[in-house]
Amino acid sequence: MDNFLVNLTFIVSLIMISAGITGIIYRRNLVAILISIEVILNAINMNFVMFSRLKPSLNQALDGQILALFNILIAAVEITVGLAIIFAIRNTIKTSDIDKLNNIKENPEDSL
Amino acid sequence: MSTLFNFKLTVLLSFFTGFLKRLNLVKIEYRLIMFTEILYIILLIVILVSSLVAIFSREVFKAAIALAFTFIFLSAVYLLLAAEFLAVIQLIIYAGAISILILFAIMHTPAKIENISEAKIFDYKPHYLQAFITGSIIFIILMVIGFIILNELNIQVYGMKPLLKDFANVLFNIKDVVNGGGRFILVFELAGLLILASIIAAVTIAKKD
Repeated sequence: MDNFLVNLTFIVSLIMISAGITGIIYRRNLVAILISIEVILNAINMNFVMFSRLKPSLNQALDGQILALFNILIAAVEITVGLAIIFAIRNTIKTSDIDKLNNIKENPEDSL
Repeated sequence: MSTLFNFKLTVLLSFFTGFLKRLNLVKIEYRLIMFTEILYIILLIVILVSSLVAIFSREVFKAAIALAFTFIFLSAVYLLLAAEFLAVIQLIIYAGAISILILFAIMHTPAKIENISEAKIFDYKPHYLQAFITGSIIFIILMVIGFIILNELNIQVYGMKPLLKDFANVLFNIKDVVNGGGRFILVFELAGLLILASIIAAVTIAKKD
């Protein structure tokens, strides 16, 4: 039963990771791309916590959970800076569609 | 019976069923041995479905709500896997702060003018194929590598349960070097520096001149 549950958790997190990478390329909205990145980070966290159950000593069992803790922190930092960039784009060219963000040219007046 | 989980809901349920049996209300003997495992599988399915909705939903608002559901159910999974501290952190940071930040950003970004009901359900664009191919290649590579490692690994659950004082010991206690205390203190300080830098960067980028 343990074997089945570990494999099932692993497969679910694999599907979440690859679906998130698919979503980063597939979606055209900036906020939706950030949502895909969040899903990827959560799937990785789930793997960390599940595999830390398989460790024989307390120190090794703590390592997975502490890595998950720092991963949550990195996700918070990433979403903060990402949303700030979305707000900057909103202030300058008033869109949230990444297909319209193609005007970065050598002339600085044409760029963002 | 699986030893992967922190606590058994069977104990609680058998208390109630025993109580009902004593009152002669229920004649049938319940055997709910696998209840925690079934709950875990249901939680995994809900997480998978809601994260797929969050990624592939056409409306961004619906995607944000599905993402909040993913966060909340993932915190329940952490509770079952003996990570209570991470479950609370997940509820506070992800379900509390990040969902609200994403909803705030959706509220302030301009929506598309085109009517969603008039748009075609699936109009093909060339990046769809690229996205599908990239996702499936990464899925196959991770699957092969992961199951090679999982076959090598002898899966056995030892059931170590870290308490909050162990977290504090590993993060802060420099004097207890023998038991691995203070292993992550440098990473912790750098994380604080990273948060400060990200706050300054966010305010500087997003401010209107």
